[in-house]
Amino acid sequence: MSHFWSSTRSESYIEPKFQFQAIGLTDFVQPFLIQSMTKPSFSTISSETVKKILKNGTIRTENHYKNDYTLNTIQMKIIDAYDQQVVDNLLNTLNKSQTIFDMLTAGGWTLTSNERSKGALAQTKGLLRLPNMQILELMPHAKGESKRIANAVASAVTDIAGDIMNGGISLGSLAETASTAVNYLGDNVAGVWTMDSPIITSANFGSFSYANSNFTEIALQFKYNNFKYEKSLF
Amino acid sequence: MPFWNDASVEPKRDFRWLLYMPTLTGDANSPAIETYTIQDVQKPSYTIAEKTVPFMIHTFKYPGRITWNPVTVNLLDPVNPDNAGTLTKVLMASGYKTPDNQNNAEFSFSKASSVNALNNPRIVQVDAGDPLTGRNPREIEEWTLINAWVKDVKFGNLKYGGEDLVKIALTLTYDYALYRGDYNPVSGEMKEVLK
Repeated sequence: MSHFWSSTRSESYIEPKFQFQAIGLTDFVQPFLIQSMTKPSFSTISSETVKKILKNGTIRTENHYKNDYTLNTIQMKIIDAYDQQVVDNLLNTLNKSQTIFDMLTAGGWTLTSNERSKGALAQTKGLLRLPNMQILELMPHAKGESKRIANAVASAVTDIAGDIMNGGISLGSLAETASTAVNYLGDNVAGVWTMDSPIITSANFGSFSYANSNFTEIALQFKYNNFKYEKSLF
Repeated sequence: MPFWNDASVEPKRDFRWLLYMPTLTGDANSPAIETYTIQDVQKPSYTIAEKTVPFMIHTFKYPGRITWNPVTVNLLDPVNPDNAGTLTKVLMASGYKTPDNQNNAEFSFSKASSVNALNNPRIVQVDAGDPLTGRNPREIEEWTLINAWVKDVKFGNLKYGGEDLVKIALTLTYDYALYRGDYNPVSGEMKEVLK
């Protein structure tokens, strides 16, 4: 039986990806605070057009790839929040204004000296080349049991994404435990977008207004060197 | 297998219910809303958004996001207990202060205080009880509104052209609901179905 929209049988089941079936993962924002995030994209893949005049006078047009491309920035919107708990580091607070301000200030982007040594600043700037930024595409249900087991064997899955969402792993420890996106290929993950060395290029801490009841949102933009997409094994 | 000719079959009836709203207003003298003053309530309901895939002349439908719909409650306003007063205290416990100076005007609602003021209302259906054995009516179904808060209050209408009792209309909104049911008439127990 071939796939078609009317099929709901397991062997030919088809489900389109929904925009809401995804989780954004970073080292410095809790996943549930991320309200939207654009996926990586190419703005231009350069090409050249060559026109050839054939022997009989016919003009033939050919398009060829060139070795250049441009990547669009990634836009992320975060709900700013606060809670009543004392947190152990700047990453774990829900007050993301504080987190992002501290990250940038510690990296040296501040009007006054932050009294950190040159070496410490360099180290912080290195960390601001954020080691982990992924978008997990989630399926509405777990894979079949047999496929799940095979998947676990094939990729030695550790469902870190689930642990993060359940609070089992602190954000600060993410870099140590998840070096590649393969680790995220858990039961409900259809695919993973991984950005290579993203850097923050814009941080907009929102605005205030008495004219509405909107949440305060922080808008971030990231540039990145490249990206990859990994489909789940099954 | 029971059937309608079995006298023990008793369907749920829309008048056998109680709504518990254990409001926590911070005022020890302000009682919770008395169940007998509540006249009607909607049970929880939800809506699942529908997204469609068009193909040729056909439309294929996929379920999208779920939203639990608000419930409305109508209650009477006896002089004692003073339901209007209790609901006003719920408003204040939720974070409202009369804005007669800048300090008071700087307060606003938080979800925690709004939810705590209403304290997870429960809608319970009961059976008829058993007058032969003296058994009291048992709960046969229970809906619990999780993280519920008062979204809308109308304290009633007044007019000279009628003799109706003054009714207060409430709208409660909530994140989701829990359901206990699957009532066992032998043991008298319910199970957590939607948990």
